[in-house]
Amino acid sequence: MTTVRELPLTFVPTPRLRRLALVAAVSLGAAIILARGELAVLAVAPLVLLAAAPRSALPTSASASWELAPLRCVEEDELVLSLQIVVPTTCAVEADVELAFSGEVRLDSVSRDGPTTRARWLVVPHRWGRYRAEPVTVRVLALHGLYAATVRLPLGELVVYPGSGAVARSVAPRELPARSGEHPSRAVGSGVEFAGVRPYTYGDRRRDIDWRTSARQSQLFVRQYAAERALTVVMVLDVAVDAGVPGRSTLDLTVRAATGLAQTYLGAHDRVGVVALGGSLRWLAPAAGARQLHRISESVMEVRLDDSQVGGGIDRVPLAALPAGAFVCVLSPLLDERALEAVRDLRARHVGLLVVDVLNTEPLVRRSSTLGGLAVRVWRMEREAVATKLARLGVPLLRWNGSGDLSPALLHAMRSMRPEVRA
Amino acid sequence: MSAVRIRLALRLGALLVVGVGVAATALVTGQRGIILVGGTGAALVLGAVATGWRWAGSASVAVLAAVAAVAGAALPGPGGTWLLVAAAAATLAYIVGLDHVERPRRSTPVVSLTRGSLAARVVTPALGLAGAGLVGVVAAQPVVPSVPLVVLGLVAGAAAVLVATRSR
Repeated sequence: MTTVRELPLTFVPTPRLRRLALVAAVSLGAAIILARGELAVLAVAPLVLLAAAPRSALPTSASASWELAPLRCVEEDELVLSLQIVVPTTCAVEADVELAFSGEVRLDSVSRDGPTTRARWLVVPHRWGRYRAEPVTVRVLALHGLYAATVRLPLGELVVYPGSGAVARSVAPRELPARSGEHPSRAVGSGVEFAGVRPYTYGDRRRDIDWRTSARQSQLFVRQYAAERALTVVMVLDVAVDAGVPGRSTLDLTVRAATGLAQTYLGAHDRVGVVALGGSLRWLAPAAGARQLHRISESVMEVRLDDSQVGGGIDRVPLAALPAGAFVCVLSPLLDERALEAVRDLRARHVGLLVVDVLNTEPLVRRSSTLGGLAVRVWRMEREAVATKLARLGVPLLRWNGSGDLSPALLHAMRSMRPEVRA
Repeated sequence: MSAVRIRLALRLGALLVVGVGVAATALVTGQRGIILVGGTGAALVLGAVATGWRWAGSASVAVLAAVAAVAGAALPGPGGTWLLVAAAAATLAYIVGLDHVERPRRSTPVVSLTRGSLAARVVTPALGLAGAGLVGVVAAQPVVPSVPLVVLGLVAGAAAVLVATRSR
C-alpha cells in the first residue's frame, strides 16, 4: 500500500557549515594576530557562502509517497521499494536504504521531473523472519549542503516466509491409516492403481472384470485396486539451539525443511502438524488444506521470537497433536539432550520416525591450538555417540545441509518402519 | 572492482591530493615549525580520508586553514595573496569532498538522488572566490590610510554583518 504524507523538514547545520565557519574564524584570527589584512582573503569565500544561505530560505516540508511491495514474500523474492519526493529544485536529496534484515538492495532507477524525484530499488531478502522494516532514511540537503533535514519513512511490517524445496515429492509408507487421500496403500480399495486380480464374487461390478485373465483361467476374475489413503506427518522442530552462520544456521535449515515438508505433503492432501520443542512447547494439530500451510508458516516463523527456556518435553504434547499412525520427522541439530529424550519418547509412542540432523558446522578453533583440536575431536566423538544411540533405537538419521532432496530418506524411513509402528 | 568502488577510490585520491596540496604550502615558508604543522595537517588529511572520522576532518580543516594563512603571510608581495586565493579554493573543495568521505561505508551506500541545480551549486562558490580575489587584489595595493577609507571599511563591515545575520 502506497503511503502518501507531507513530511515536516527540520533542518540542522551540517559539518560543512561548521567547517566553513571554522576556516573563516581561523583566517580572520590569523589576520588580526599577524596584523596582515590580506589574510582575510581566506575568509571571504566561506563568509560569502554562509551569507548566501539564510535559514529563512529553507523549505519547511516536503511531500513524499513511498511503498515496499509486497510486504509478504518468500526468501529470495524480489521486492520493489519506490519513493517519490517533492522538494524545491535547489535542494539535493540523498536516500539511505538500510535493511533491518539480511538482504540485498539495488538502486534500479532514479528520475527527476522538476521538483519531483522518483527512485526505485529492488530488495531481495535472504533470511526468513518478521521484520518491522523502517529502512529508508531520506536526507534533504539545502543551501549548498549547509543544512540537512533527515526523515525516516516507515514501511510497516515485512514478513519473509522461509523458502522451501527440501522435499521434491510426497512419499508415504505402504500401510496407512484408513483415511482417504492420494497415496496408494497396500490395502485394497477404490483407487486407480492396479493391485491384483481375484475370482469374481457375487456383487462385484461388471466393469471390474479382467477379461483377459478370465479367458486364460476359464473363470471370471476381477481387477483390484489399491486404496488411496492420506498420511499424517508431524514435524518436530528442535529450536532450543541455533548454531551456524545466519542464513544457513540450524534454525534456518529447520524452518526451511519444515516449510518444504508442509508444502509438499499438504499439496498431496495429507495432514501435517508441527510441534516446536525448545523455548515454550508449542504444537499445531495435524490438518489438511491451504489454510494449514499458512498456519504452519506463521507457526514456524514464531520460533525465532521465543527466547524462553522453560519448555516441556514431548510427553506433554497431547495425543491430538501426535496421532497414532503419524509419521514424525524430527528436525534437530542434536546439540541438546532434550532432543534425544524427545526421540526416545516418540519411539515409546510407536510412531514412524526420521531424525534430520541440520547441523552443518563445527566448533571453530585455531589451527595452532592443540587443546582446541582435541576438543573438536571429543565433540565429533560425542556426535557419533548420539548417532549410535539413535541407531540403537532403530531411528534412521539423515544429515542435511540445506541442499538436496529429503524424499529418498523419508521413503527409506517410512519403508523401514517396524510392524508395530505401522497403522 | 565495481564502478562504485572505482568512483569512490578516485574521489578519495582527489581529496587526498587537494588536502596534502594545501598542507604543502607550508614548504614555501622554509621554517621548520610551520613545515611540522603542515606535516601534521597532511597526516590529519590522510587520517580523515582513510577513516572518515568527522573530528579528524574538522581538525584537518582547521590546521590547513592555519597553514595556508601562515604561508600566505610568509610569502611577500602579490605571490602571497594569490597563494591565499588558491588555498581558499582548495580548502573549499576539500570541505565539500569531506562530506562524501564521512558517509557511512556500508555494502549499500547512501544514494544521491538529486544534487540540486548546477547554478545553485556553482554560482555562489564562484562568487565567493571572485570576492576573495578582489580582496586579495585590493590588499596587495599600497594604500595610505585615510578617514574616508576607514569609514568605507567600517560601512562595508557593517553591511556584511547585516547581510549575514538578516535571515537568521
